[in-house]
This record gives sequence, C-alpha cells and structure tokens, in this order.
Amino acid sequence: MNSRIINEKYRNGELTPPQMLDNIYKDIEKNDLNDFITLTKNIAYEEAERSLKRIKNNKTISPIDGIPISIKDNFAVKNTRMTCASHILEDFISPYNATVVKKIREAGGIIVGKTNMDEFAMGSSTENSCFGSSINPVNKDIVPGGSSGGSAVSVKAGHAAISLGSDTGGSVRQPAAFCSVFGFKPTYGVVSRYGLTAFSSSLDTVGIIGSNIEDVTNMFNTIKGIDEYDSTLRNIEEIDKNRKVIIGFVNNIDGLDEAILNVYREKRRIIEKSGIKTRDINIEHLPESIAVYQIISMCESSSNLARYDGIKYGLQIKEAETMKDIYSKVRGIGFGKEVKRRIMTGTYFLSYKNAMYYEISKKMRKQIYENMKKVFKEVDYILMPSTLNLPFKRGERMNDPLKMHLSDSLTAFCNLADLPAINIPAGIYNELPVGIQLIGNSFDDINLLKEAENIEKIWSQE
Amino acid sequence: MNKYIPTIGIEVHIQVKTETKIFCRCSTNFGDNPNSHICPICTGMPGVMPSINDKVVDLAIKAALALNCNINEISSFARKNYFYPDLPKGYQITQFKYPIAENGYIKLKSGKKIRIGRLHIEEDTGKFIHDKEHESLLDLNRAGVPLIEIVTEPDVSNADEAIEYLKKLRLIIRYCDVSDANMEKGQMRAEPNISIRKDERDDLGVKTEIKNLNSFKAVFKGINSEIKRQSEIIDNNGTIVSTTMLFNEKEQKVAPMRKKETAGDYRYFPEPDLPNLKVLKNRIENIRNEIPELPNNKMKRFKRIFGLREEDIEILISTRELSDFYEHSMEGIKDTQKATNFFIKEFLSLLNKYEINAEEVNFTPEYMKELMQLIENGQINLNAAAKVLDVMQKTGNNPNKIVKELGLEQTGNEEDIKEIVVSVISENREEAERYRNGEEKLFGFLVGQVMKKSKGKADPVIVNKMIKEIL
Repeated sequence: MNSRIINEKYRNGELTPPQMLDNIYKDIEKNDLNDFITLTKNIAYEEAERSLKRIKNNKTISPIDGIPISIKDNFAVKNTRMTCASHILEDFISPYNATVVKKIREAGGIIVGKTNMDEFAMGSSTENSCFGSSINPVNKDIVPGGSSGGSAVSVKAGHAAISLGSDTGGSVRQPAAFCSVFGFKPTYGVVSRYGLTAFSSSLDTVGIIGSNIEDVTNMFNTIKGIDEYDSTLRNIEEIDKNRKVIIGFVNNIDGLDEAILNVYREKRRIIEKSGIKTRDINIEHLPESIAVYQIISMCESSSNLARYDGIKYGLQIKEAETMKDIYSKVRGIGFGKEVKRRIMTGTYFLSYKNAMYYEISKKMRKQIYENMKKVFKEVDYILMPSTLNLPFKRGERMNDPLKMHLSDSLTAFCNLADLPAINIPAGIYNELPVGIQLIGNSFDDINLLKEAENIEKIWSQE
Repeated sequence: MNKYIPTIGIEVHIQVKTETKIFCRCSTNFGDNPNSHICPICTGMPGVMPSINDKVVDLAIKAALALNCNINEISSFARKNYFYPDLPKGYQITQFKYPIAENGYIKLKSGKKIRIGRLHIEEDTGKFIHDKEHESLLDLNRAGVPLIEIVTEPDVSNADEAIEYLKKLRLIIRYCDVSDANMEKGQMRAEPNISIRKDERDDLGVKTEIKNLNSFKAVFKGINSEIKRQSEIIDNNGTIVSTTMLFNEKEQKVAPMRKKETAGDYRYFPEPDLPNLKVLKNRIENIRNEIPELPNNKMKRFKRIFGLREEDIEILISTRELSDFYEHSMEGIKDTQKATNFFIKEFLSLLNKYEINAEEVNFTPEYMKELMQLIENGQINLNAAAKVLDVMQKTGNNPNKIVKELGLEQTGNEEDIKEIVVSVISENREEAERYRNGEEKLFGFLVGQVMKKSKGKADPVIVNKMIKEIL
C-alpha cells in the first residue's frame, strides 16, 4: 500500500476513505494475521468521513490526509484500549492521546487499529504477546520479528500504509527486515515520546514503518518536532553536506550469517558501481554493545514498569491479604515471563554494589557514542545488515532467551549512540527476507532518508 | 541523660508555593475534594512524561540563596525507586548526586552556625488514608506537589537548638514567600536523625530517624524521647539499630517503625525523561535581587535605628508584613520605646481580637503613623489611642478624624483637670480618706475615676500629680 497511489485514487474518485476502510477491515477479517490487538473502527470511520469532505472540496491538509495508519499498542489513543500486549493492561482504556497520535489526527491520518507487539516491547518475535504472535505475510513459518511485529505485518499485508512502532534496541528495524519493509528509527530526541509507554526511557524512540521512503518521510515530517510534554526534544533542520557522500561498510561482523554476508557484498558492489564512494570502517565495541544495551534497558525498565501495581488502573486482584500480597499477585499474574525476567535482572543491576554494572554500562555507552562520532567524521552514512541471522522459525527461540536477546546485536548500538537508522529491504531469498540498515549521524535524519531513497533506487535499477 | 552527647541532623521538606504541580499543570490547592486535582501525568498513567515547572526552580533558588547556599549551575534529577500506593509511578523524581544547591547555613542566636549540606527539589507523594477498618483510600491531589528538601550537617546538639533552627528556617522561608511553611498543614515537615555517644572523641553513634512530627512541640518531645530511649539502651549494654522511628501523637513519644533504608535500597539512577537542570548566572542574580531583607539583618537594623530590646524586635519581625507595617508606622517618631510599647501591646491585640494578620488590617501603615504621632505630640493619651485604633479597624477612617468625632483630644489644662479631681474626691470621700491614711492601692481607683469623668481625655501625668497635690 502506497500513499501516493491511494491519494491518486481519491482524487480520481476511484476510491473514498470509507471504502478504503471497508476493504481493509474486510481483508483483516478474511486474512487474519493477528497483526491487530484492537481495531479502532469508530474513530477510523469518523476520520474517514471528515477526510472525504476535504478531498471533495480539494482541501486536504497533509500528505497523510485520508491515509490508513496503524499504531503499535504501546501508544496512547484517547478512549481506546492500550494493552502493551500485556495481561496487566488488558482492559486499560487510555484517557489521553500520545503527542504523535494527536499530530497524526490533526494531519488527517486515519488510525485503523492498534498493532500486536511483544509485551511492553520486550522481544524480537512478537511471540511475547499475551494475544499470541502475528503471522509474517512473506512466509507463514517464520516470525515477523519484534517487538513491533504487528506494525510491520500490517504494512506488509496492506492493512495500513504507514505504521508507528517503537525502537529501543531494534524493535522497528528488525521486524521491518523480517517482513521486507522500511523501518526507520529517528535520532533520540527528535520525535516526542509523550504517550509512548516507556520501556527504557533513555533509549526509546518512536519509529516509522512503511512500504516506501516517501511514506516514511511524510510521516516523519508529521510527527517530529518539539513538544511541551517531552523535555528531551529539539527541532532539527537539514544539514548541509559540502562533500560527495561517502558510505562506510563494516567488515568482520562476528557471527554474521553467510547468506546475509553475500547479499551485503553484492549490494556494496552495486553501490560502488553507481559511483558512490565507499570506505571500510570498524565499529568498536560492537560485540559488547548488546550487553551494555541489555543492562541499561533492563535497569530502566525495572523502574518504568513499577507503576503497574494494580492500585490505580489495570489488572486488579481483590483476593489479597496485604499490600505486598496485592503487588506480588497482580504483577505475578499480570506480567509475562520475559517481562518478569527483565524486571528482576534490572532490579538486580541497580541494587547496592551491583549498581557498578549500571555505572560501567553508562561509561561504555558514552565510549560507543564518542567512537561513532569519530566514524562519522570519516563517512556520511554506514550501511550494514540489520540482523546477524535470517528470520527464524516460529517457536525456535522462545526457550532460548539469550539467543533471542542477540536479535538486537546489530541494531542496539544505534540506540546507545543516538543515531538515526533505517532498514531498507534488500530482497527475499528462499522466502527469507534480508534487511540492510542505513545509519546516519545524530540529527542528520532528513539527509539519511534522502540517501536511503537514493540507495533503494540504485538497488532496484540493477 | 547528660551522660551522653547527642548529635542531631535535620531533614526538612517544604512544600513550595506554586499554582501548579512540579511536573504537570494540575492545581496544588490544599483541602479540595480528593482526586480533584489529578491528570494522567501525576497519576502515573502509562506513557506520560514529566516536564519541570520553572517556578519551582526559581523558588528553590530563592530559598537556597536566603540560606547562604551555593547554587549549582548544573544539577540533575534522579529516580528513587520504592513501592507504596501513594507513589503512583513506583518511583519519586528527586535530585540525588547533583542537587540544585549546597553548602549553606543558618546562624543561631548563640552565634553557632548550623550548616546546610544540600538543598534539592523533589515531588511530594499522594496520601494513603486508612479510613475504616479493612478500607484504605488513595488521594492523589498531593502527588506531584513541589517540595524542597533541606538537609543539615550533624551540627545540632539538642532539642532546643533543633527548635531554634527550625523556627529560623521557617521565618526565612516565609520572608522569601517560598512557602507558608505551616507544619500543621504538612507544608513543612521535619525529620531529625539522632545518635548519641559518650565522649566527643568517640565516633558518631548509630543514628535513627524520626518521622511524623507535625509541630515544633512534637519535634522537641520526639528528639528528647529518642535521646532518652537510646541512652537507656546504651545504659543496659544494648546496641542501637539503624531504625526509622515514628512519633506517636497520643503518647508523645517515639516507637520503632521499620529498619532504616539505605541508598542501595532505593536503586537511584538518573531520570532519563528530564534533561540536566541548567541555571544561568543572570537568572540567579535576578532572583537574588528579589530576596527581601532577611530576619537576622532586620534584627540588627531595628536594634540600631530604634534601639529596642531583642525580645521586642523578635516579636516585631515575626512576620515580614508585621515588621514592614511597624517600620512604616515609626517614621518620624522620636520616643521609639514608648511608641513600640504601644504598637506591641495594642496593635498585636487588635490582630488577635480580629484574628487577622498585619497585611489584613483595615487601614494603612500611614494612618498608624498618624496615630503614633498623635500620641507622641501628647494630643491623645494611650487609652484614647487604643480606642481610636479599634475604630480605625472598624471604619478604616483617618485617626485625626476619629479623634475629632469622638472628642478624644487630651486635656493638658491643669485648671480643667483640677476641677475634675476636686469633684471626684468629693464624690468619693471615703476612698479619698482611706488613701490619705495609707491605702496606696486606692490611688489607681481615683485616677481611674478622673479619667472616666474626663472621658479619657485628661493627661494621666497631670492627673497623677494633681491627686497627690490635693490629697
């Protein structure tokens, strides 16, 4: 699904927004990929009628006016259920709108539903959802990736033109790679996080999934910018490039799947053939970055998830003797295995002397950040695979959490170093999609998207 | 009790006077219906983020400057993690490693300095109320009300010093209009920590902390009761355990509540949702310029220009508004002690009678000054002046006008007074005779009768002289 085509059909009168919704909801019913947790039909049809009026009067207000959009179920949509795919929030109705949701609605975007995900965005396969995993439309045997698996599936299946996900260590780029769509993680501090349920607040970013760069860019332009409710933001502008673009390639990635390595080499060849300058670079501490990421994100999540205590909202347990009893029953029943594992590990790493691990991780993060700043003095962008391995089978890693955690190996360092990055689909081989990510310097998001478009064009012309 | 030397440090939480909460825009109004000032942010809904209320920072800087602290141009927020129903997010946003201000002090009357180690900004919790048996209620109106926490070094030696420190602190905070600092309303909360040791040369003993002290009296009793408790333990060869003690209002003494937490229990880490708090130099200077003359300086100045007793000045400077009112009323007055005596006696009883503060009286300090001048020039006597003052409060009229309307001008004419004295003596022959025979106490009765007959207008000095002469 492509916004440009939809817009053309709207203008020609071939299609109206309500008809488009009919089609989508019919297909979701017929072809259930479990990509949605909640369908927001009421809101959607209301918005669609308004959009239709604007289209008829030639008064559309933005490139996403009338365009179907899906939202990961960890974003707040007013008066709509927000579960974070967790039993603990299964019946939680949000009393407010996330800033990004507000901006999308103000731009005329139509929110079709809330997408499936790993519980509280913790996971890489959408299998940690209390509603069950989503089905990858490319290949039903493989996982859709995660944690924004539902979002990637909804775009690939044409149930939405654009989807909002969240990327803390790779949760937008990895499912985008597994479902063969574009998945963009902007620089931290460019898109408001207000209304995005916090997992790891110093790493969380609002990500965008789309079937083409133009859609991703339009959505990025809609949601970026400062917000009085998020004090970690700044406005960005296009940065002048006064030299010919140089793209860095990473050699010797430990444990990289051979099939992916072959695709990576071939893509480099095509780029070099087109005349773009390339250079070999080294990403220091890449193997350690995943440990640093795990410690920081688990520590922060142990604090961020403390609010789910069954007192104010969410799952309630009435049969309890003491306060402590309420807490342990609500959290014991409400949270899934992986979430509990991370809360306990994070709590451990913040307590007493163990806090030194957190301190060391913060220092390592700073080191990784500084190293990347040096790399970006030599090159403008980095191209490297989004994942070490090809998409894995459903159930394959559920009982091997350590292996599951390695799914973020090539993506998490971008979150640690505040870098923008976008997964570009690099083809499907034996029904297994491969994704390659283009990484830019901090706050160079606008150029990054342009360069991604350019690269995709070069690859598709070959 | 004297066997041991107590060492006391005090943590004080003060609710900062802002219209809205520290991280959202809810009202801070006290006493409204439960949960009428709440929003997704202060109730810890999923996805919300804090954004700092600049007014809180300004007031914290103001308090810090008034307490002689250094302001840190960069400070930061941290999360203090613990579970309790009144803490909606499961963590409190506070300042830990990098507080906004450090290294201040308050000087006691003795000249001793109580050092203030740090002053930091944080959010208040809600209220978890155990209403009936088996029923607990949660009111989150207070959740997110801004607080400053002021922590002393262990410089306080006894309960008296603790009270003096707290009273001075409260006065400074009120002068700066940072808070009303009313302990009964929970706007100011003191938590002393106490240890004892046998000898100055010994290491400090294990300390305990007292919570739930809602008045100066409770602080005083709590500290003394804890010193006594610790002394008895040591006397019996026991060991002090690091404990949080709870003051029992009914029994007026402390009892252990729980084992005292350490920083490690709270899993502090930097708050990722708030950037570092940067305070520019000119912001600090602007705030410094807003700080009024503080009580200690005012004390010195009043002593110098009015030549008053310290006890009197202490009363006069007990609120900033009262001291301003007083100072204005005294302009041009020469007999400052006489005028001050009148002010302290009559003006303060007026405030008491009408249950108002100095800033709420019905007349301006300008009128008060005119009244003081009428006294100083001998135009009315003190009794008449007190009457005028009361009318001023009732009508808001100018004292000169009131004096004229009521005909209260003092009579200094000896002939007129003599006539009244003679008539009073003749009407009270028995009393006059007894006075002459040595019953001194009847003198006052006779003076009173003369004043009554003169409708308070007679100059009491002349009345005294005249009665003595005639009898």
